[in-house]
Amino acid sequence: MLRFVLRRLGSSALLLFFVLTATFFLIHLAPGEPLRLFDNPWMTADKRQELRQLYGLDRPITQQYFSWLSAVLRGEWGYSIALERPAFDVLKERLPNTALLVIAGVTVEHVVGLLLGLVAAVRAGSLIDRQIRILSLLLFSLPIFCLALVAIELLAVRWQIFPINQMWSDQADQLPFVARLLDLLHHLALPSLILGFARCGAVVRFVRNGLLDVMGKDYIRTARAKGLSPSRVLWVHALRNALIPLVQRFGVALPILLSGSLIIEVMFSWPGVGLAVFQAISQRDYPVVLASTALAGAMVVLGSLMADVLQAWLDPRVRDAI
Amino acid sequence: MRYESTGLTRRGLAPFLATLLLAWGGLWSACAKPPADSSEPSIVVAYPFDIQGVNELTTPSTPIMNGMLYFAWFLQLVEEQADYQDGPPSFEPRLAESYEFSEDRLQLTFNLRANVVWSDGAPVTAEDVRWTWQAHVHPAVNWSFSEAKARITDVEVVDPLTVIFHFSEAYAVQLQDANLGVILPKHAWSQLPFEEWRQNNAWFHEHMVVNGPYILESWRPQQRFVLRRNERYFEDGMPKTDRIVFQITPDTNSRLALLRSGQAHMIEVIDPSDAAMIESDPSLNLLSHIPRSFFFVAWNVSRPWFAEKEIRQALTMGIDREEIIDSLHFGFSSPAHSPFPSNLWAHNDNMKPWPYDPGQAKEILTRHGWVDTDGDGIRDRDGEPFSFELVTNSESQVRVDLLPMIQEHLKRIGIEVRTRSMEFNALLGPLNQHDFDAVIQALALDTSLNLSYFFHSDGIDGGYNWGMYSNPVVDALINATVEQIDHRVAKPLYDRLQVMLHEEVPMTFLYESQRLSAVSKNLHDVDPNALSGFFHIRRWRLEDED
Repeated sequence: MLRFVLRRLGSSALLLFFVLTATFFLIHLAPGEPLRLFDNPWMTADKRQELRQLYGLDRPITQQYFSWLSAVLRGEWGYSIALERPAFDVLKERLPNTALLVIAGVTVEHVVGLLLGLVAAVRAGSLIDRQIRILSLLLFSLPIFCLALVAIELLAVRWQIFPINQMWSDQADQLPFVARLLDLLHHLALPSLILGFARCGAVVRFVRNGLLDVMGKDYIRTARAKGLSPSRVLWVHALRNALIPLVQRFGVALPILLSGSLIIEVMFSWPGVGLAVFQAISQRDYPVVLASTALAGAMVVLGSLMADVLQAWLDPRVRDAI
Repeated sequence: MRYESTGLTRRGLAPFLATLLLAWGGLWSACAKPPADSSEPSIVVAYPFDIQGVNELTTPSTPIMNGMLYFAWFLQLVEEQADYQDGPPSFEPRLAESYEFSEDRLQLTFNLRANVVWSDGAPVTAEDVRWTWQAHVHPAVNWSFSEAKARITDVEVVDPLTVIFHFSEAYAVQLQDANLGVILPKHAWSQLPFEEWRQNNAWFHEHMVVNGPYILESWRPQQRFVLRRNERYFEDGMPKTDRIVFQITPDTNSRLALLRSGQAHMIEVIDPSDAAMIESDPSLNLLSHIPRSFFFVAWNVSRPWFAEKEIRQALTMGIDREEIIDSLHFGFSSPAHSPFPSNLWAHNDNMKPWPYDPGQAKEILTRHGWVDTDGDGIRDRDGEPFSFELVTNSESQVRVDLLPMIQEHLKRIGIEVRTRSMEFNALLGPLNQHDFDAVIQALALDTSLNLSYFFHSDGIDGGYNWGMYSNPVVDALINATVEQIDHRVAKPLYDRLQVMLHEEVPMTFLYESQRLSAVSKNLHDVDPNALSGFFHIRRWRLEDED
């Protein structure tokens, strides 16, 4: 297993290098440049050239690439032109916020999806199954911002159960630890519920179909014939096997979740990576864009590796193949 | 697959579901418990942008800077007022209690107030003013506005409270140029050499001392920044409010939700489509002002369709601006005929906008040989169809919505318009290289009313004369207005210049739009104007409505 993980990490590093190189050239060749940030009526051509020199943007693109590459190999990701700070610091302080939102969203997505999928499977063909299937289709097809708009209007503006936006209340720093934690959860609840509910439709379908498929297999019949209790058959034998495709999906879904969280981050003013990257791209803040590409790439690699390891742990056939 | 066949009994499923729902409900109610919130009364502004730094010299020209929030922290020598209806704006004393020009106008002396101190107790002196100017023009600092200081040769400290700006020549906006930028704390910030400023943005925040009405109490990036009363501020009874919270809210709907739910007191700019909602809310006020901006379609005169001024006039008469104003601005704008807004002293009141007259537009086009020879509905001349691309930036929904409207208007007079929107950063490349046909844009004027960036031949390279319009008479008129110190002499020149621009139509001036702000009724003395949405923020006060 260790050799498998190391082999995967090696090939992933190579892949990441190619992705970063392609991103470097794509973002530099895209129309627009970061110095537009400084535009004003007093900005002369000479002044623009001076700024270009200051940020090393006057050099040939290949030269810029190799100096960027050598800096990256030394662990330096450059300075954000817009924020005048180390690019990685900008992302580093926002990554935990995005991670928190995504983890909470994934938790809601899978708990709700698993629960509804389970009920739909065990009551297959019934009215509740049909209702759950319609609901999952609705959630799957509804744009996340529509769901968010309705939820904000009802739960935050009219009934004021949750805050409208932000991650902390004003002056939350002065609260004791437990109150601060509650304040954070209070702010996290609505965005994570929306993120989770907007995506749980697919999980419902996966769980329902997986369970229905597995319940007809020979080994389930064997388990029943051996006299195992019905709940043990469902929870231990059927569900575990029905969840394998869900685990595979989880790894692939990580980057999609990050992009989904961008909309939520904007709507809820959640200070995450997505918001920073969105601004960096529109401002052509090259160092932040490249550092975030590396980060997203690493997350995809780790996500897919984690999915493989989990799958191996769940499925002895995969484990043996490794 | 039926329920019974799984082995789960109804008795088994129900407790399972109930437990899960109870767990969720418990978590929700725990989370939904409001935290012990601050009881301190604060003004809350729902604001779309975060600050990018506290040193305006190294921070890009962000909307924050344009909104002049820096003036909450730092004083300028004098403060420009928005009283430019009958003449150039006046300047009220701030750090300087008075100023005077020498007879030849090559020296400008500022007399500083004796009672102004930094928030750490150090006095604000002429040395701060001189050192700030040195920072403005230092090549390593590379302030993007430093060109405004190009004709200041020295800043001389006469005594701790007297400072003289020396100029290489006399010109109209010397005071504005000397005054541009806030005065920075030499004793605190000179510890970091100018050469290191651009790599150490966070350092200035850590070593921040101010001389304005507010200090920066806290700053959580992408969350909020909080202004707190500067206890050492020199003006008696100011600021009127102890604490102002800027809640960073990029999403328009969320900003409105905060205001409507009473969790925010002000939104600096709202869309005209939301004005009716604000007006119908008894707890809110809608404020409006005319910004010093002009909205236009710029025609690239190097393209064959736009080379003749009569054709540009026909295009202008082919665009139904009243319909645009009704549909997109909900009546909060009016057709324009000049780059100057109607409330500006230099505006020519004796002119009228081009009317919407598709009949006359068609006549002009036909007279100039643009006729539909092949019956495809598009006019052509010498085998060239009158078909061009109209672009704009995608960030502005109003401008994006304008594209199909103008496309439809011009189709009625036999002109085919292809439309495209792209992000502003990407659009600037083709504009600066003059590689476009026509563009919808908006530009802002500063106090100098210098039109050379937009219409002078010199503005073609490096300025905003994207359409490459060039006319020696217009150039001469612009030069004359820029050089003229006496505004009474400049006024007829401006009038003639506007008549020329109206006749020549290098741009079709679309409309003069109002900028709308939404303010809670218990927030008083808010006075957004063309200079800033946060003008005189030190006078804002929060009071309960009776």
